[in-house]
Amino acid sequence: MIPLLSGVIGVSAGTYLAGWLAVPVVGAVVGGLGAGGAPVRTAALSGAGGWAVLLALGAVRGPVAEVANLTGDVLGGMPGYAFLAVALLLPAVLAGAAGGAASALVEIRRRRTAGRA
Amino acid sequence: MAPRSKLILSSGVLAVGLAASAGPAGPFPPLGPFLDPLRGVWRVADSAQLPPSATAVIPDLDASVRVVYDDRSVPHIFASSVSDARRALGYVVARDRLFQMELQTRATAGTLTELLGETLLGADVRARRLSLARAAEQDFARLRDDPEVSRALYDYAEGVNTFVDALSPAERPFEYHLLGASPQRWEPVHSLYGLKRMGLTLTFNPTEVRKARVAALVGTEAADALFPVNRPIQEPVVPHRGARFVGTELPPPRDPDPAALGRMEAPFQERRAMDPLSEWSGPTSSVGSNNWAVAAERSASGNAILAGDPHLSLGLPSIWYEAHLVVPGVLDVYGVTLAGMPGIVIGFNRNVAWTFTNTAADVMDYYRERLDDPEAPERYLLDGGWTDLDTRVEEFRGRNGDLLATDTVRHSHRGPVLDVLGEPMSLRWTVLDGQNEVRALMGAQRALSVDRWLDAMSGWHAPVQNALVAGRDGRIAIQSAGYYPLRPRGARGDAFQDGTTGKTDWLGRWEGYPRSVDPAQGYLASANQQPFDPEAEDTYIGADWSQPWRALTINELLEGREDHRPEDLESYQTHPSSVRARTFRAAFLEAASRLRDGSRSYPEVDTAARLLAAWDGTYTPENEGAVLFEGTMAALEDALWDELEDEDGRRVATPGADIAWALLAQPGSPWWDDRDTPEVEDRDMLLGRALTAGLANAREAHGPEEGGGWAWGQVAHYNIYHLLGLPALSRLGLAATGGPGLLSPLVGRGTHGASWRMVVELGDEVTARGGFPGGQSGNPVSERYDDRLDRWLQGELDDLRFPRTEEDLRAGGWVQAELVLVGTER
Repeated sequence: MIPLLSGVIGVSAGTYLAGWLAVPVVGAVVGGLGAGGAPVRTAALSGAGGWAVLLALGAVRGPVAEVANLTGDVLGGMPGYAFLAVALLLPAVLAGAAGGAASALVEIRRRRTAGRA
Repeated sequence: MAPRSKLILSSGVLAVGLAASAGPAGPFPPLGPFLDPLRGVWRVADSAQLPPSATAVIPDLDASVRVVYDDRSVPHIFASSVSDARRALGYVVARDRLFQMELQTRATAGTLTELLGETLLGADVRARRLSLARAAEQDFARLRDDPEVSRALYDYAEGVNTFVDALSPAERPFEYHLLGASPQRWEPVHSLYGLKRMGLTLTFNPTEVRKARVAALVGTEAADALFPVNRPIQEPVVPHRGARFVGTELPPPRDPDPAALGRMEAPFQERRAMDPLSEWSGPTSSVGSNNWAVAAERSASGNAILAGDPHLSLGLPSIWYEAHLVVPGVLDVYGVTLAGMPGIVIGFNRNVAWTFTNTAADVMDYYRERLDDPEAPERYLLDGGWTDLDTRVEEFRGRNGDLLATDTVRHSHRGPVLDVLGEPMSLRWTVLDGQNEVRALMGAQRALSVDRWLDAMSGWHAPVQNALVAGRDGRIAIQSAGYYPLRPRGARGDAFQDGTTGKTDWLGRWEGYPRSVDPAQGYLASANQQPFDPEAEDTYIGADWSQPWRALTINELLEGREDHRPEDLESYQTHPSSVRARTFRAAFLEAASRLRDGSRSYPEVDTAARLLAAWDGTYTPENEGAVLFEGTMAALEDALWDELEDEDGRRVATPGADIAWALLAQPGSPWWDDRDTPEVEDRDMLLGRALTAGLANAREAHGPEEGGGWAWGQVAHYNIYHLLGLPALSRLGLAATGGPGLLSPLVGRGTHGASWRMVVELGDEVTARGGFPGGQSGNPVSERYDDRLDRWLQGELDDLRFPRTEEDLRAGGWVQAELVLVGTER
């Protein structure tokens, strides 16, 4: 739970500071640190969760659901919840894939080190 | 999974994700910045509501400006100088309508491809060939001689650019997020682009082209009669002696001239895609307007009352933006401005109210040019010698600055040389001449009386407008203001002119324009009809006047009582019936009666006539008779004007219903004959056939008459499109009272109509009501995007707040939000 919570906070803060490019970076960090044995899942949930938190905060300021409805409709007639799902899927994919790659690199390095030993 | 496989798979997914996030994919913008919760499209939600209070810095302000938005989101600008008021206006319009401003500007400049991509290349080519932006630049250069107007354009631009410069990428309007683009800065000349664009909308009407096509099919004499200089029903803008039903003898159609048809059709079809005419040469009957006013002696209160509703393309956001500008002791004007204009265009102050309709005068002529080289011309023949063409190469660039195409645009001394019906013709057009409408509008805003207002408008150039004004002293006046070309003796603008001689060129400005001040009848009205009765003035000033039905209807209503109230004038704007419907309904019923008296039986004609007789002549959404009538009228047009169909069966032009009315008095005219049948039809047979076809078509399209499918509101709709035509941002299929020939027109695809309705009573206190279909905001997630639409559809207007001071707004409980604009220390 703590790795996930840290990931969510990391993605939120990273997006605030550096924009969307922070998502795969934080995902890679989460994945590289092992993330409780499920690095890809934790990184992906961190990405989606981080952006979900930011969208929830945005909803306090204005009609975010209406933006989802409208944008979904404009971009191919999809309902608002589907567009929202896409919007959360993107950071999940970016963070999850980066986390997966990072954890794989760590594992390869660990095995090489172990092999040399 | 093995680590190496996991690495390859993850890296692959990551690469795809990053590619989709960083770059556009087809119609989709780069997903990373677009979906970013803090910088992406979501931030559009932040500007959905006006913040209760806000502050912005406009560096050059003379003093701070307070902007108070009322309960209808109308900004009331309280400034200490006119310059500051204009800066504030630029700021608040940009705040609500930035994308609209840029799109309009680019459409005029022919740079849409840079924002929207290559698909708009054709529109850009047309715009550049017409040279509207070039003409605006030339007007702007001439403003060196008019520093006050120049100052106004710079003031406005400062306000707009203050907003643009402070805008972070996250705060861009919705459309910029969709396009992955950033707003451009506003140049002072862009305000003039807007005026040129309006000139295009209202005056680009190549009557010569239409007449040439018709003449090729039925002969010149018939073409002249079908599209006459003088309408067969006279109800002029300048009161003469009431409505005059003149009629006209229609000469029989000649056989088509294959040579003439071949000359114009083949090249025209081939070149249509790049033809500057193709977008605008369609019927313009839907672009019209109404205005009327009653003087003190004809109103219940003893105050003059004015009403106006310009009929233009309906869009979201609306082309109009409502605002109130107050500079104590100098300016106190309320009304609507065009996004990009540094002042009020239609509105009122404490002393006068004004509004416009389009005069539809002929202000553009085509000249057949002889060029030295058809493929790459450099010179044109003029008075026996070769004269150099003014040539420039236009470059069209895509969204990334890549070169898409080039085009060579040539000008003779008259104007741009265009390919018209396969021939090189130069265009002389007042909209491309030097003009300064901003000065006229600046004077109009401050006018203290009807006379001063008329003086201000005397400098108006284009588009020629029926400018109606009413004063606090109970007076009314109308002046069809603008530049009317004075043509050489005998020359008319509805035929192509010889370009090889300068003798056909315009001689200057005709000064006898239509005007009526304080008419004895106590009211004035215009609805784009012929402004003069030719009995009173027969100088050629145009040949494409609107049919007189709306003018007949409104004059009948105004003549009908001596004690008009503002609510009466308001109700007239959506009056549900028309003189057109009354006239033709009677003609159909009389024809059916005569057929019934004959030897043959026409059961379907009788059924249709019975249904039509039961119709009350109105076009309310629930009415079930209008469908049959309009279907019958359409069938009549099809059968009557079959001579005007080309080889592909398309009608090249449709004469007005007033021409059909004139034919009713000629029952044996060959025009009544349907060429597709072996028998020779007369008037009654064709009217009966139209009734039968109208009934059959209505049943086929909408079911049986008693099935409920004939309700007008289910059949005829307004369709109000977003600027980019995106259905999700548009409001489509809207039912309302309106129809062909009505004061509230609803024709064709329902994309045009009353773009602004206003009624003003000028007493000691000015009271006004108004509204447009849409809202103040261009943000589609804002309630203010379309919050006025339902009331507009119901034909209802809102009370317009016209406070003298900010405190008046507070006392009325009308304050929604506030904005303080401050300058920087100098």
